[in-house]
Amino acid sequence: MKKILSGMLILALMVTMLVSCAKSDSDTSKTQESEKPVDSVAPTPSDKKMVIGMACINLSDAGLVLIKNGADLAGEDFNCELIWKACEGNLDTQIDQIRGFIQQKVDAIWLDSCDVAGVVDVINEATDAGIQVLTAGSKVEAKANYNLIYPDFDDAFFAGTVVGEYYKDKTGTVGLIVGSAGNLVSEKRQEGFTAAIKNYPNLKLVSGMGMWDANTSMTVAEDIVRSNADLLHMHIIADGMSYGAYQGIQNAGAKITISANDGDNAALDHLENKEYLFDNVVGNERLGYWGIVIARRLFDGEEMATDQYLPTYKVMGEEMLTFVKDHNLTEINGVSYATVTIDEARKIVSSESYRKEFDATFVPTK
Amino acid sequence: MGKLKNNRIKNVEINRIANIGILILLMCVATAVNKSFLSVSNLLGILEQNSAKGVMALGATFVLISGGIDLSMENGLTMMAVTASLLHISAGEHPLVLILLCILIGAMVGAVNGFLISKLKLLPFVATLGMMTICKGITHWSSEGKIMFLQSKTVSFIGRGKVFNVIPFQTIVLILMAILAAVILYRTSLGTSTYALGSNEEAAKYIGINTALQKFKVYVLNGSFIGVAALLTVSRVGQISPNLGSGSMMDAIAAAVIGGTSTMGGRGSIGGTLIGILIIGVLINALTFMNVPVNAQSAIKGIVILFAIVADALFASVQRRKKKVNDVV
Repeated sequence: MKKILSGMLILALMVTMLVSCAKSDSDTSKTQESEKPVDSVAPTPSDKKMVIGMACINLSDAGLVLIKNGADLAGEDFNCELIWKACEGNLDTQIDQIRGFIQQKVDAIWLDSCDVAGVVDVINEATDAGIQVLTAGSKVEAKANYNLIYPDFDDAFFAGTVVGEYYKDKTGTVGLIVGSAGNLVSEKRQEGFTAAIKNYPNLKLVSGMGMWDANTSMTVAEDIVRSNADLLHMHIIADGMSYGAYQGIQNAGAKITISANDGDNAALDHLENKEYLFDNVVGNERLGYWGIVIARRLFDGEEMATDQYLPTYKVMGEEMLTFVKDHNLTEINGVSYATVTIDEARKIVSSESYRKEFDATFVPTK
Repeated sequence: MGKLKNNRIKNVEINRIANIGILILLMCVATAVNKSFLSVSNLLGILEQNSAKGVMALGATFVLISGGIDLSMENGLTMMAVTASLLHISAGEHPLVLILLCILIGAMVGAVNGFLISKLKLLPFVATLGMMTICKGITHWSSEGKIMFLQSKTVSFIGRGKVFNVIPFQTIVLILMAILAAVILYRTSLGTSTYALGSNEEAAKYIGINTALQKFKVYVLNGSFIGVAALLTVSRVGQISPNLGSGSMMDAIAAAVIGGTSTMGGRGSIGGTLIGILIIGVLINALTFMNVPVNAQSAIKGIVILFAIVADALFASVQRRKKKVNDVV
């Protein structure tokens, strides 16, 4: 028994060492991580150090990790110390973490809330204590918080409308893979897409839950393909899930169009290879960077509107871009949608570009 | 000892017949709603989708029969898949590296669990809960939340290959692992000791079983099975992601319990677990075929699993009552 245990211990140490090496080696392999920042575009850091409490739902989801990367970069650029906490989707834990930040007397709290209504009281506690609170992704109706909003509903409505117009003359099924029940981002994107598809009675919508996991999304995509012989299109609400769904669609032997959301580099590769029809560029790193810029500007005394909007861009190949313009889809129900080419999208999500976009000349929503 | 084992096998047979009935009923309902459910491609698809979970459920069967539980299964699977894949990429994507490392890391995680439970006498619930957190931490630390893609053709064949262009390779692995598990459970002293541990650990000690060593072996075996499941999962999806395997523990344990494995230990079978994983797989697939609203799907799945656990508890209670009556007589 002792011999077995000693052997296991040695093996454990060896694997730990190997993983450490693999970590540094694998940085060069094919990943969706963005390129290294270019120092020449770094803004000048402000003099006074600012401390920001970062309350996240989790730090394991690929999208949230990219948001963290962007925020950390902004922290370096703007002399901000970021304290990261993840509640793993538990509202009670998140409330405790925010109370912890209030006790620590941080200068601001950036919050990716797991429950829009559930965090209102603790946000009010923070703002009453003189701490700026910035809620990311969704509008939280507290007394004095700032909302960092990216238009999930509208973006998904655009996606649904484009799919509807694209298959206007056909009858069939459209698949939708959402994240998880109760998740606000997932629900907003689901609502937007569903609302748009309702305008096309020739299309039937079927949905599946990908649980933000590529493996589950792959299984769900396969099931949707096999259960709907007339499937025309599959929309996946996040790039991270779409790669698994794409494998599932290939595995099930379907020849359908695919669209997704986020504008990650790997998704742009799929667009380039004409495997996806279109995507929506939010740029998760860009999103993280922008949030810290807004927090810093507020800390430095700049006045701005309580609802801050991050522009998103619809990215697609040349052919699809012409289709969107020809069908007047750059404005739907009074909402304007900016379109970009794949190359432009790559620039937008690069650290060089978003550092420039949010430099001293950037004007927040007034 | 032989009589006791035969009685257990009889009880398991009753459960298995009931489960086959449920499976056929589920398939009939799904086919009535959507005829393409019974297509060969869909049925083979269900087998492929659930092979990794099936292998995981086989490992869980051993742990549950021995009276234990492994809460680190899911995070363990993710950690094994992520760390082994990272090492595999840095070693030039040689498939053998991935295969061996998945199993080796799995066995190591199992060994640590086994050591904590058998030597340090920690409750399985507590020890594996700690391991769960460790695995989660290692996954995040090593992957840094990045998504990476595996390019090797062999790995892609393990994940999505078809033997004779029909049978999913993953399903062949599941069948081989099930045969291996059956041989260990029914034909070796480790199998007999596993049942003995779960039925009455004190009695097992008195008849000369080294309970600490046997428990250790059960957890190492379970870890190795999870390692194989990790290999199947990561090669199927073809990418490393820190969310791989989410929800797999629930499905694996549920499959074993639905298949007649007692959560109290001492009862269970390999055949039952295989039927259990088929029920779970068919149920998930059938919900999509029946176009059940997305938010209702997890609720229905949860109700079925809960029903199976309650049925297991009732069955165990009836068995205890019967035993008491027999003892009095």
